[in-house]
Amino acid sequence: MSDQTPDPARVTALIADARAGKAEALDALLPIVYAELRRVAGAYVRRERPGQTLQATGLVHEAYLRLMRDRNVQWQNKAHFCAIAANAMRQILVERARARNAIKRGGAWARMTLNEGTAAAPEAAVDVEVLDQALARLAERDPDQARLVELRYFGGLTIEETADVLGVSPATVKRSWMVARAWLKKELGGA
Amino acid sequence: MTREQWARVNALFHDGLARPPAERASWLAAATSDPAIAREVQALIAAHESDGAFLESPAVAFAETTAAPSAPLLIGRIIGPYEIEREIGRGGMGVVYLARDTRLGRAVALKAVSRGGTDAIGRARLQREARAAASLAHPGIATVYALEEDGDDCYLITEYLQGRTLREELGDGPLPYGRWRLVAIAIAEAVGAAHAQGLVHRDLKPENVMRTEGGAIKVLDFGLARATTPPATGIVPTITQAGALVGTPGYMAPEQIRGQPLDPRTDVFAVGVLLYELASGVHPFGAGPGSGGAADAGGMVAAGDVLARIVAEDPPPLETRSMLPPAAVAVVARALAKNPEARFADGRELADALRALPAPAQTPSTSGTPASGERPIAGSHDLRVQERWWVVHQASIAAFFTLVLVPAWLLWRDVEPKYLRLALRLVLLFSVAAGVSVRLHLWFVARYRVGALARERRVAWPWLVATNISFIGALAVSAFVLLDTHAATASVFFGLAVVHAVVSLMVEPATNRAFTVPPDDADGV
Repeated sequence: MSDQTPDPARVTALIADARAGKAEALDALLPIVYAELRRVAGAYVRRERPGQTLQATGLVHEAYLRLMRDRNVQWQNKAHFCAIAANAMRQILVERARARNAIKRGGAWARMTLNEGTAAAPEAAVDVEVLDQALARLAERDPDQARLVELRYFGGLTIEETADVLGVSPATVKRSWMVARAWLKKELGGA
Repeated sequence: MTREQWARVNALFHDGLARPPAERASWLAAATSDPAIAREVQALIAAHESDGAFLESPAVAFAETTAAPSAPLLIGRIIGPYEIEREIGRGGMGVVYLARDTRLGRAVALKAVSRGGTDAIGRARLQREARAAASLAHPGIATVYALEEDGDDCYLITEYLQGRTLREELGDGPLPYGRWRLVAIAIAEAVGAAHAQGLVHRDLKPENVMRTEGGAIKVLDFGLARATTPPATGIVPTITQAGALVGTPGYMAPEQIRGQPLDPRTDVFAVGVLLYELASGVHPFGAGPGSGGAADAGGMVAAGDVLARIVAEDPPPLETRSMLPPAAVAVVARALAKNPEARFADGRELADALRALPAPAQTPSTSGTPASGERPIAGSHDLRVQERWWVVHQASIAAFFTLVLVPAWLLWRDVEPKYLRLALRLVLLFSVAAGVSVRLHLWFVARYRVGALARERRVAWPWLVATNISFIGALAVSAFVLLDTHAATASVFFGLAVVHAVVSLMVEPATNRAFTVPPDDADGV
């Protein structure tokens, strides 16, 4: 319930207890899991544009439910959980993008509006569906870099947090991130 | 490109960036003989150096651009026999439209329930659920007419209802007991009818319950939550006819939060939350309204805390937050039990318990049968007799205070010494000004926002006590001071002080009690 970052060792212990079937551990884990997801959406909330908080709340909630559903993918520790949360967020956003794109491609009847998403900054023009496919190709040549992008972009982790989760130095993360980002930018024609 | 090549590209990329741009081409040619690697390195450096904050902000920051499909895309389109006219609501999962059934000429509500690419299993479940929901014939449940398929997309066609959701009604403050009981019975019966057919709603909340313009209570979206949800979990944010953006987790039962199997008792919990909220105007676990309008970052922060509280904490006692009789408080508490075993078994059992509660005798809206909730419910300004007495009481005291002010002010001209005169006048002025305004405020609240009265009265209580004491004090002191010079006036003042003391100590608590406790309870039934 508090906003302080939970001790990873404690989280890992709780996860172990939850896996052992202890209901209290799962209950104790709940706010931590949610806080984690909330942190993922943190940048979003900080923007505080009208109407967005609800959208983000829905997103976090959906991610949470997805995690609960996939509980048989058992969390090993906090780092593993971060990775799973980032992946859940990726799936949700990609599904939404796919649904949206499907409608956009929907044929002659479609009347496009120019004012949709007016609040979005120019940098927002990333087609998550296309990015997802590019990320899959990146994973073929370098799985670690693809994971890194997932953590950074879909999981919202900072360089330092990503380094922590992947167990490497921040400098390494930074170097890999630069390459992966440049490559994706090239693939998406953003260069 | 092989992994080895890629590793080489990575190394050269960083080396190249460290060099001045002018030297890079010649350096690269010397560094590698593989043209594929050279090309890749060049392209990556170019991409890196092109301006832009590509991927620097996390994806969720732009979620709104990836959310629900934009409305105008479907308007004017014809799906089956339904012509889509306009959008009437939207949420995280899609949009609800008003459509016209071209064959029958009636208005229907149309919701896109697929998520772009529902798989075969998902679709079969959707069909099954829609069929089950369509089989529900109950006046308290919005009727499902059809499930239309159009390519990859599915559309659920339901009864088009005009009215207000309970979320909107909650904006007017909590319901008085009589209305609360009727609404509670109507919801529980509707939910119970679905339970009897083996259907669990899974996503009951104020946005999903509507009061139609005719006054009927209708539960919306039966079968939808489950149909659009993976089998193992409970709820996915759904859309409602009123268009509230959903995703507020405040109505999930503990077992739902834990990802455990659901049954009718899950709905009972959700109805319990709803009833608590309707009675008190506040959410039992501190969730903000799902359709609060303006964004508050706090709502986001609260969501996880709300889930944690649902699992672990008992809500603050309802008796301190509402004017419900103890028996009704007990029913809500049982519906909100953490352990499903301790709750009512289903909606019908909850409805039975609610019906067994005493009906407030003189509320106009409770005569007649509440069963279907079809009766229009009286406006909040229709007060019971007891309430009228309480209002009269407040108004009389306000008038009394004001009237006393004039003679007291004039007669105290003779009071000596001067500072005592000044003190008396100030004290009296304070009691009258504060006492009258607080009472008029309470009177206004009782008349137009009766649901907020309990809270307002708690806030006003110290003021009333203070003004009563200072009023009585000022009159009594002046009576003593004036005793020698104006014996008659002094005794009148003394009399008024005594009268007001009696009124504040005995009459006012009595009218307060009569107003607060439903008559059945007051009679000790």
